[in-house]
Amino acid sequence: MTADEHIMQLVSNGDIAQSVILFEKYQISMYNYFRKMNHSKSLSEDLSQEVFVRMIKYRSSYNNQYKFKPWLYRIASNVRMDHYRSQKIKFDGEEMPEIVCNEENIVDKQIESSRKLQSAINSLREDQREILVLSKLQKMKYTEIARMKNTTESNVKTIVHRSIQKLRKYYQENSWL
Amino acid sequence: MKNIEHTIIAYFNGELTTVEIESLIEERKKSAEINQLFLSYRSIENDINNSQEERPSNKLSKNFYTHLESLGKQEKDNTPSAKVFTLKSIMKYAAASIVLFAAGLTLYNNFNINDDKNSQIAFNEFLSDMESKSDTEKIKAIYVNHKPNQSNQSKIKEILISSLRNDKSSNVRLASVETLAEYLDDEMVRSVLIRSLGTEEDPQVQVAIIMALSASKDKEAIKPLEQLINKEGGSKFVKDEAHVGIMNLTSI
Repeated sequence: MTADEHIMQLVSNGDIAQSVILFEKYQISMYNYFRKMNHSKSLSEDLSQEVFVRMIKYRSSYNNQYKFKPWLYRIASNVRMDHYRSQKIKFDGEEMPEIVCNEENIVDKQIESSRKLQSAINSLREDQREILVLSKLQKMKYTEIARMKNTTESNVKTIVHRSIQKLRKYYQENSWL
Repeated sequence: MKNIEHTIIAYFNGELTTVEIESLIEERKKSAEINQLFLSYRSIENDINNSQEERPSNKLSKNFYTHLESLGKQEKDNTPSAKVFTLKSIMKYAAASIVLFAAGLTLYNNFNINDDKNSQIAFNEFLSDMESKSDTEKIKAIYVNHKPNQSNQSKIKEILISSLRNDKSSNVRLASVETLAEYLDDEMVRSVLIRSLGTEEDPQVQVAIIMALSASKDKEAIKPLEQLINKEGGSKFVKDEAHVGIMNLTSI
């Protein structure tokens, strides 16, 4: 059991103030998960908030035999699906995220790279996009993603490989390689 | 070509063994076409690795803390005699967060004290919690109160290093490694992590150290990683992670 599981177990046992530690640790990566999944800034914040609200609401369902991170991202995936259902919108091409240009992000080349990458990611199917984001950008292991999505590790690996091939194809079509 | 394409993708995903990597290097030498394919995937991989992480606005934290506070009130109303968390207890955990979010967006106006004072409060919380006997308090201190841009950052690093070296709890050591990983531009931190690789025995902490070193791009870590791989016994998944670490460090 790692630190995250230990803390979540305390939350699960009723020490809800401990959830602040998990919130502080994961709020940025959670927000970026929704951003990379093609949501606007404002919606990404709202959906991230909902994830942490549900983390507390469903704390008693947490089993510390399982890793905390896949459990949290499963909640995130469900939050996103519920959003789609409530809005009755299609999965693809929902919103184009803006590329941030702030003081820490002023290097033109990096902005251009981020824009190209996001555009290529947006061209993927919804299921491919999510698994690619989890694997390559959220740095989750195949086993963790497999557990989260109720599928096999080899299936996750196949989807990641196919998605990266598609990214390359998209880059080629746009003469970015 | 299809197979080699998957091999290249597997390489960038850290899925290949050392032998397979050597074989891929040979293939690249033999074929210009394969080398070109490799470079095209490397270009995408670079974009992924350089992808900018965005920060949410203060609204997210503000809403979360407000939600926690309302939960505390509800619980207090429902069980007046029970020990429940209050705004004060939440703020104890969130002291350092307030430092970050203090720019006019705190829960209450009376938290609008100056940054220096906030920074000192956070640092005092950090010191106090790290001296605590409770693992949870220490973990809380490490994750919540260590925030960068504090004036006493070098002292914080010292404490984290000491914690990594001496704390009996693997959870606390793990939290220390994860936080020290934010200071990889500091040569001393990298050096401590490299040395810890030879002494740390908990597999989860070992993996965290390997991941940090892998991200550090410090080639000094290669030899200790090789020693870890060649060491008799030890967890297979730690050795696999060490392989991935070496691949990352050698593919720069």
